[in-house]
Amino acid sequence: MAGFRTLAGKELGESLATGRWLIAAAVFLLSGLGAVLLTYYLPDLVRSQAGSGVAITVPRQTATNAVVAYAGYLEQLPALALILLAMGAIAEERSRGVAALILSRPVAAGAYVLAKFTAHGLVALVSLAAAALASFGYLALLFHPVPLGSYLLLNLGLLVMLLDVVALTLLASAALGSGVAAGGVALVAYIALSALPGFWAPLNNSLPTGVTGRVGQLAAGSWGGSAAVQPLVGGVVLAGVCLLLATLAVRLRPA
Amino acid sequence: MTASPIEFSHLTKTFGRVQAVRDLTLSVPAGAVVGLLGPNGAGKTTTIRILATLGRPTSGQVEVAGRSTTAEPDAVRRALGYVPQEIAFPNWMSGRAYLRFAAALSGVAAGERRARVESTLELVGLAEVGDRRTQTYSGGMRQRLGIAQALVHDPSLLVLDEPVAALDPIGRSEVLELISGLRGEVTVLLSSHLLDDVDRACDRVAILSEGRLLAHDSTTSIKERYGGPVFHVEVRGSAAGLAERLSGEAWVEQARAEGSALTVVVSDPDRAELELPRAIAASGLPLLVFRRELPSLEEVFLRLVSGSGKPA
Repeated sequence: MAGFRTLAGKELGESLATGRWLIAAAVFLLSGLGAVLLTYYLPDLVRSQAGSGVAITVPRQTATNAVVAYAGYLEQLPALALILLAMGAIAEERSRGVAALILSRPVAAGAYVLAKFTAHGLVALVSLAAAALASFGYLALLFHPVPLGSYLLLNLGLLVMLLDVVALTLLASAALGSGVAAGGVALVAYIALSALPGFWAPLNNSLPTGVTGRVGQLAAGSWGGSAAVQPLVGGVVLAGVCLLLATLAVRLRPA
Repeated sequence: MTASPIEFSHLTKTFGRVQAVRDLTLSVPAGAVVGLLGPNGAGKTTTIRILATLGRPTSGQVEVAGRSTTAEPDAVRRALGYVPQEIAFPNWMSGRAYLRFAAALSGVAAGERRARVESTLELVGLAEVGDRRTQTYSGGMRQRLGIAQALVHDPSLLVLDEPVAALDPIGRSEVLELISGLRGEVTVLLSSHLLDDVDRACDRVAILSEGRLLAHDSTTSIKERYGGPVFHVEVRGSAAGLAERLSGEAWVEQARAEGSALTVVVSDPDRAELELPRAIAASGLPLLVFRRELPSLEEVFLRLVSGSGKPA
């Protein structure tokens, strides 16, 4: 695709220069580690907060509880951070005139969109990898080692979910005139993506929530394997459709 | 036969019920610096965006070096350099890094890129500050970098949308000098509503109003054809009374006095050559200067867009 390598290089450079990597990595690490540590210390925290004469008993937390919390946390703040980082990617470049300088050159609109997706996707991948690795270590330290295969599958599900967030945000950014509007639309779309599959099983089985929603079974090692293929492929297809539509939007209104 | 650098054929562009460009047919000769003139809303930016492949015509077509902007956009993009009205660069990049990026996007071979970037930075006078981040550049420097990014791949055509509108007089002068220096090497089409600047930098003008082409020719021919001559007179004493008296004459279109100077725009130059000296003599004011000149581009422009000129 004409111009992809050059554009991806520019986007990656921008990620480094603007500190996008650091912001995302900090949010992901905070969320992942926070989930594991809070789960571990939850009984002690509750006990310390209880008044005298009141006894609240919180059972000792397990590794499964911690993994459930980990998945839940990573689906919230990190997803919001990715929306905030990507919402102006196309809309702001278009309104500032940067897009006109790029798209008046022999560059494919698809390459322009894909380069942005690659850069933001890599930020998500590296940040998630850092959070997953650190959290895995603390899980082993504080609880007991969780099955590696299941943990990897869960993180793959989270990654596909987060890539869907990036693709949805880029689509909104390409279709709308402002970054703020794109961020709002992307947030609503993400909430819908997270909530709607819960009401209809076939949809749930075709989207990454089909993996991340089964975190308890995953941690217990009672689910996984080929059953995870359909939700993961569904998530990849969703991201692909969003990117195609974003490309169409850029082609129709380049700058 | 070599194709003209730019050919607009019956170009029409509508946005909903608004016709931004109406049946524009225009051919630009190679190596010329052409000014696209018009008041705000005349259709200049729309025309230029279609030329730069950033918009599509509603009907008609635009060709750059024989290639259609809609059928072969990439070939057109390789042949032209574009400087938009509002120019912005990634703040974190240096001028030199941005030019390398622009050259790579335009397909300049990796082995040639460094030399092209350096020679273009030299051309626009930014070699010394090439390693500074673009966010530290002044408006004039940013505009020169804008021209540099448009020239870095050695295009045959340079298209600029209002290149000096946002600059101070020094910045304007620098950029216009740079554009004038490209005459003969690159075909230049620039849009502007700053008539003095176009008069200075361009050897041809095309005047648009409400999306229609009113006139297109060399600057001198346009002035001769649509402006009619202007007489500059200087007398000893105030010329105000003389201007008032001349305003009533049938062969006078406009008579303006500024102190002892008098500018008379006439509709019948032969008659003016006879009548004007008589009127000055009759006023009793000693004559110091009497000169016949072409009108300024501004005078021609105002006549054409206000409808008093005779469009082509």
